Amino acid sequence: MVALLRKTEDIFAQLFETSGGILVLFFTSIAEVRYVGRNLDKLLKQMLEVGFNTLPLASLIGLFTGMIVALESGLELKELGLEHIVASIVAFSMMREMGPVITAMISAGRVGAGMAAELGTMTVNEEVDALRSMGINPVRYLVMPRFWATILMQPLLTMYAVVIGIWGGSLVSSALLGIASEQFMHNVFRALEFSDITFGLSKTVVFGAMYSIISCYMGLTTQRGAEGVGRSTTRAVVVSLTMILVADYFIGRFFG
Amino acid sequence: MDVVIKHLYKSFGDNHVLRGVNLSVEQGKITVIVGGSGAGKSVLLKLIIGLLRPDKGEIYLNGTDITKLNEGQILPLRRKIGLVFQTGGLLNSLTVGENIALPLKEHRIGTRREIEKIVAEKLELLGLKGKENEMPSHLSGGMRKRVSIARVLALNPNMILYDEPTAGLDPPMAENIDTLIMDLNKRLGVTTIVVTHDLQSIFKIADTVCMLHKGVIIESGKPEEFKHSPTPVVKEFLHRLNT
Ligand SMILES: Nc1ncnc2c1ncn2[C@@H]1O[C@H](COP(=O)(O)OP(=O)(O)O)[C@@H](O)[C@H]1O
Ligand SMILES: [Mg+2]
Repeated sequence: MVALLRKTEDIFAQLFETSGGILVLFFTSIAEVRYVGRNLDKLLKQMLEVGFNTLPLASLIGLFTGMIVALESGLELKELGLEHIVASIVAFSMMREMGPVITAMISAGRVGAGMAAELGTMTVNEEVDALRSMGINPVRYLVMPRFWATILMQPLLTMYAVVIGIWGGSLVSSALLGIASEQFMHNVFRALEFSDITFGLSKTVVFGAMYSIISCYMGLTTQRGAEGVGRSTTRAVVVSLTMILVADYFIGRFFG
Repeated sequence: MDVVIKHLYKSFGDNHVLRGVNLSVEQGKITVIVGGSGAGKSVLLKLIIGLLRPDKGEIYLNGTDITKLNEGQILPLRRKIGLVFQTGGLLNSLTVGENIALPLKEHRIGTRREIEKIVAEKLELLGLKGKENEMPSHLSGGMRKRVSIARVLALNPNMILYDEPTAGLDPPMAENIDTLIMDLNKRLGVTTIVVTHDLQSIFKIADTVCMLHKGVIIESGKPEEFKHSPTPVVKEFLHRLNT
């Protein structure tokens, strides 16, 4: 019993330490933006990684998400004779919900995991300590460019996935429900409001900030030893995915 | 720069590595630290520049207790202190030349042309001419160590800590490095701490030799005194290195 209590205590202590550390890293990375000018090369490299290199995956996942939403809602609605609203359902759910969440999740799994593994390897190899030993701030050198690259690129990537997803929805609608794609697109543009776009994109900024900081934190706190980097990478992905869903719920609950 | 360490303790979990280290390093002198593998020599060097935090004790650099400073306050102090890591500590994603240029670029010291010149000069000094565009992963351990020394020298430090600088080098190159360490010390007055197992270099370069054993400095003195120390552990250590 005492052992159990002790264990619980340890878990909570760890939890506070981790979340505290993540918050500190978050605010430091924001403050370090004043040095972005001399780190432009690193920022651009990371922007390429977050944005461009994730495009193929985002295309594929965006496409199928849009198709699935159209398929699931379309068949039901057709029986009720309401298939004309499929376009607005696809547009709404892609822009406000599926696009931001799905894109953030695949980015956390690909880009975030990459950040944790890279910084983890650097930590274990004493590269991070070497930076510190030269008076170079590792947050400025390593985390800040990754954080801001994610903040800048995640909305673009999401917007791209949303467009592909809507296109996927229109493909399914024309094939299964006989809705012409011009008609579908017309309905999409009528349904979407500017506030839907800003809502969806604001979410992506929050998600991007979360997974990049969580992943960098896990990388920088990697323990020495053979399984250290693997463990950090797994933890980065699991914690990021969980936090994205939790944040998504609360954003929907309080701002939706 | 001088270093005074008082009652320094450092543990990792149940592993009590340092248990009350007292050590003074004089300005402009070469202090050699010896000790068995796993004795905590590398840990001690990292503590001195604040890469690790002690559990207890004080570390004064030029009279400032760095254990009272936070990371942001220590960072600028480190620009004038170089640490040559036991493993080199090179950034694997950068070339040899970029590694040496890194501290200069990040601290915005010199124009691009000047940085190029410093890099070429340090490469030449360490016998690494023409290796500029190699990746660290393609170099031997000894060569990585030399690149690491070159990178430390780029910032013209007042104090350099070398963690086994000659391990993995062939004897002539090891001798070159020893000569370089002494030369930097004599010519520029660089305060120097060297961790080494190399008996030759201990007695060639040291002004003071200290032995770390079971978490404390058990012996400290001039090389001659150290050589004839009556302490059994020191005797045994020297005997082991001799054979
Ligand atoms: N970052 C660390 N985390 C946990 N243990 C460490 C760490 N650094 C060193 N140690 C442990 O401290 C002891 C001393 O290590 P070290 O200073 O590297 O020895 P050496 O005298 O050979 O340089 C070893 O038992 C090592 O495992
Ligand atoms: Mg060591």
